[in-house]
Amino acid sequence: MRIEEDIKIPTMCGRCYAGCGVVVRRVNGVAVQIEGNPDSDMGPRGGLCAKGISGLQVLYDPNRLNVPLKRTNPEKGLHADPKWKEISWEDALTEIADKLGKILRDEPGKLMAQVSILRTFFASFCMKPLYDAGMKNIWVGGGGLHCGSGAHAVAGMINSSWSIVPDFDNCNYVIYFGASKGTAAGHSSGISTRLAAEFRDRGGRFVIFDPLCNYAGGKATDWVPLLPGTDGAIALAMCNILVNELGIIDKVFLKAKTNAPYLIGPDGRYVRDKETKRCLVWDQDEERAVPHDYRDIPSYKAACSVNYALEGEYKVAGVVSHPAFELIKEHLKQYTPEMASRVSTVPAEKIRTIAKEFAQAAKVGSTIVLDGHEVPMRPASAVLFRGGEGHENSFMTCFAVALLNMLVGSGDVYGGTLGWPPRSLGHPETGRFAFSPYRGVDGFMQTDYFGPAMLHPPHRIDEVVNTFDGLVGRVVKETVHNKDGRLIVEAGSVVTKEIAYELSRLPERMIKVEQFKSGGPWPITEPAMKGNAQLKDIFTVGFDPGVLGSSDQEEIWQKIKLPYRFEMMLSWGCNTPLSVASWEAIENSLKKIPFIVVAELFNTELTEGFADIVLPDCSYLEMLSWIEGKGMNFNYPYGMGDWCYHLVQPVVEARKERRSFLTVIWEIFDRMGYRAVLNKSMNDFFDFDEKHALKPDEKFTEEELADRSLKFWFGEKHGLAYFKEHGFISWPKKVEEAYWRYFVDCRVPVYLEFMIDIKEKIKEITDQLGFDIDFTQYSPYIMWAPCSIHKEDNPEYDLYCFSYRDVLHTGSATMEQPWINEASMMNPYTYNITMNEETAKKKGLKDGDNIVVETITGRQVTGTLKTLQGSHPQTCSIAACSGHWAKGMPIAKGKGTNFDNLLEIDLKHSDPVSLNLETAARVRVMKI
Amino acid sequence: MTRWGMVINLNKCIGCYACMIACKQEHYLPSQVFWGRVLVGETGKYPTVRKQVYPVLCNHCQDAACVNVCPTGASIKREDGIVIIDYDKCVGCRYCVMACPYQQRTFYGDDGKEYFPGQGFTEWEIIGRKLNPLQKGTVVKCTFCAERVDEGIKRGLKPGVDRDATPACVNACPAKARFFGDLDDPESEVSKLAKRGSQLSPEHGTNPSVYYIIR
Repeated sequence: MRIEEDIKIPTMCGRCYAGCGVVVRRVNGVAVQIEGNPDSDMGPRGGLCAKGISGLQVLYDPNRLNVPLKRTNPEKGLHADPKWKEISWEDALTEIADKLGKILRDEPGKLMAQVSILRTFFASFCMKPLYDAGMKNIWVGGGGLHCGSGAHAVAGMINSSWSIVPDFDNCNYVIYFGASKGTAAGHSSGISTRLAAEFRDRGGRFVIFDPLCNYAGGKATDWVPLLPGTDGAIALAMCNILVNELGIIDKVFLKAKTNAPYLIGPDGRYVRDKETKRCLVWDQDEERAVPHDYRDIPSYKAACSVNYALEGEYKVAGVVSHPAFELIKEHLKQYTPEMASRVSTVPAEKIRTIAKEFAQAAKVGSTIVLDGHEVPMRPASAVLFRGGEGHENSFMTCFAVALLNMLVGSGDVYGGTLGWPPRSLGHPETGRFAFSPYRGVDGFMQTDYFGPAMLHPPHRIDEVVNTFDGLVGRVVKETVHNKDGRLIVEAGSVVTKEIAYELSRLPERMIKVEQFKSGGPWPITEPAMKGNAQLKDIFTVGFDPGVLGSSDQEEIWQKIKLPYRFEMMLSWGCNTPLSVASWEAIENSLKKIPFIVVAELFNTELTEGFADIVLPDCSYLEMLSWIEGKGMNFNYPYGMGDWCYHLVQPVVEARKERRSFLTVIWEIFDRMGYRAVLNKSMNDFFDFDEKHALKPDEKFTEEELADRSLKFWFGEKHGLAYFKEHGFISWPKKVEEAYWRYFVDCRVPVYLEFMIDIKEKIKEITDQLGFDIDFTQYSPYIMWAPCSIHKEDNPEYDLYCFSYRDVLHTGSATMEQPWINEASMMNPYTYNITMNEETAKKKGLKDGDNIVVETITGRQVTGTLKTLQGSHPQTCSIAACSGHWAKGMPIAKGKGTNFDNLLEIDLKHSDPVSLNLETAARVRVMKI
Repeated sequence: MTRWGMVINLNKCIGCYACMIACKQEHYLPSQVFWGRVLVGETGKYPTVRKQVYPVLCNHCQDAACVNVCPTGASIKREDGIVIIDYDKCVGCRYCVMACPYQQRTFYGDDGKEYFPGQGFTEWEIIGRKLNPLQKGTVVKCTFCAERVDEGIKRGLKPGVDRDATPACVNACPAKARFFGDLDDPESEVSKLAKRGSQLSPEHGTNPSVYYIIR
């Protein structure tokens, strides 16, 4: 064969949200090889996981969709035959634009969208114009519920980030409460795989609380099996040991970086300055109460000199008050290791030992000088994700682990628990791509940029009450005078601290400021009854409630008097029937939507069962995307890894009639006459200044917009041509960015005073609406509460069943690639239901038996048993997102067991704070 | 002398199968043919359990049983230690398949197996069969990517250091658990790491060139 072309094209992987840098080799027009980009910190630096390598089998899968399809069978259902008819793009787009246009003009609430968790930022970018055209409801179909409604909120409040990860490079002791970072899964999958491997090899201790000794557990130095949903109790017992037995705590961190010194009155609320309403702390040097921001704390050195009381009793403003820490200390006493042991089955002595080791490993008080800056060194980290947070106590469990970190000062410092750096001082040439948390309401960390902000409606705040901190740096909308008519600030000017203070003293203290572009989880949006179909207006802490697919949605919507029902759904890359919960619940919710449009690579359980029109999408190897590097606080190199911004570019031309969903959306907007809305949406997204802004009627191609925005962010020399050639741009991270905590003068909560307020407000609303909500967990104290799985008392349902992230699989499309399928068949566990060997023996079960797993409500799934020693005897487990039945994915079809059908999806099975779904089930197992 | 060898650090390995699949990609291997595999199991009793993962490949043994039994001289140990098969000499008798104590050899019958059964060869399979044609009726196995090593050396590159001269499985490992180089060079990374490691089932007496670092 004559080789006419043999080239390498740098691009970005699109198999999961981690987006590792990759290089694709193309020979004679055929993509023949994918490997990691050895020059980029965004990934394993040359390596690549099996899913990434197998991308070629997504590209060349003969089952890929090539032309638009229209359903001719009006009957919908999980196993309905769609009776597809091929239609032209012209017909498809005409019908979609016609129906969508009518909905947007009539009641945009009637439209809902769902997006995949994979390639989160591309999905969000595609859907953003719909938001700006009035769409109200979007969910991460599947991924969301199995994602981090609690974890994202808490990591946001504590680390200004989407999630947490150990500073593997400099950490010595890592505890996981149900996480898979480092085993080719999770956030920054490839980066963590590389860094965690180094960490283990240099002797790092890896304590893994996990019912299963398979992936994370399989790499542990100490595998500690526990029952699902009890992680929080263990974390709090460890906190108790730290505080009340060992007395090892980082007082500098607690005093300067948290609300531990805030004085709490008898009503559980902050004691505030009468005039300024600022929270008070007790200054031990001056022996008096002072406002929380009395001292500027711009550095670690300054933090060390802060001498606010953590303990004692003080009479302030006429009330007896205590520092929050004193109350927390007392509260923690109930979480004895023995108590945690009773609920989790982990021996109390083991909990004691781990707590002690963790405390010692944290080296509280130690510092290191990096690039001239003295920063604390805390080489101990506790991290959780899905395993720990996927329960009805999600929000509190995340806070329990956060407290464990904060007690030893392990928060965005060298060696400790990190978020993805939320602080960038900007690209060195342009200063753009800059962001940072800052001190906001009540002194707490606040951020304007948080995750894929256009995916979750920004917590819009145009009025700041109660404190002036949140005003600093904002732009004032209206000119403000004081009551004597003296000018305080002119419209359009930026608020300084002095101006803010003056504004805060105005009698009404309601100052209109420019709306935030987007917002993080703090301050919490005030719960209100605004008729949001997902209840996001009431439960404002959570991120992705499951109401759009829940079995009780009609009851909920009637109670809140939702004025509309969904008439159209637009879906990109989701497989809701397979990857959420109860098949019937999802079936019922989808059947109610009369017009469903899905952009997909294959026909899936969603398209075959429910789609009216299917649009053939481009895979990541056939399309352009230049926005996936814009991952605010999520998924880029952490620690001192370089800042990286990668391009996704086509390595082969899109085959047949496949089209990128991005351009499809743009085309639909044009057909509806919404070009001006689209262009404004783009201007907002890219933060364009006047010079770069798109005019209302301006048309552009993907390439033109990419070039314009890349140059805008990274300078004239770094347009699309540069990115096409190099694949990415990177620049070194600064110490003040990687370990930003002591460079930003702000605090995070260890005492959750806000819970008192939101409880009152939510209770008022839900009582009125007739919702049955358990408010136990609406406590200012970080706590552990049992979930419904723990309360099940029918002894027949003796096992806890959960799903886990298999190293070979992520999302719901990986079982279709033959290479991954071959590996999965080779793996003893991937396609089987796993159970402890002795447990199976007691039930008369053995390897290879066909078994049925059944919940108390009668939900059933079937599969093949594989026993192992490395499984908690009271559990059984199933690899996530297996058990496909769609004809459109013949390799995946029939492989494994679909765990999700065991899950109930309703308010009762959700965390009452974050609405995170309970993702474990109590089951019995029988031989078929 | 040069003796190409590999060290696999099991502390770092996460059992992700990237090596196995990267090998299939590199050599355009057909469905169900594996030149490297990943063995997964566990040791111990609950709760004192350890998961065991062994990525395995041809050990390129110094005293290779496959070479010793080959009646046609098709299985050859090169001077640099790499064991290869001369497809033109192989008659497919499969003695070597039986003799290899590590079960690393596969008879290639080429039954035209497609990756997507019944749906024809993909563009990738079509070009792959031209770029790296296997011979029907011969035995196939891992070559330590001899073609990359040889080509790399010709270009002045150093195997194990420069990616283009290094086996694909080593390049692909996202945990950087695999190392390649000259075991006879006391200064090479692999020869130093090999001292921390051990050979798989040394009782077979074949002196493998693949070492495993076990915790």
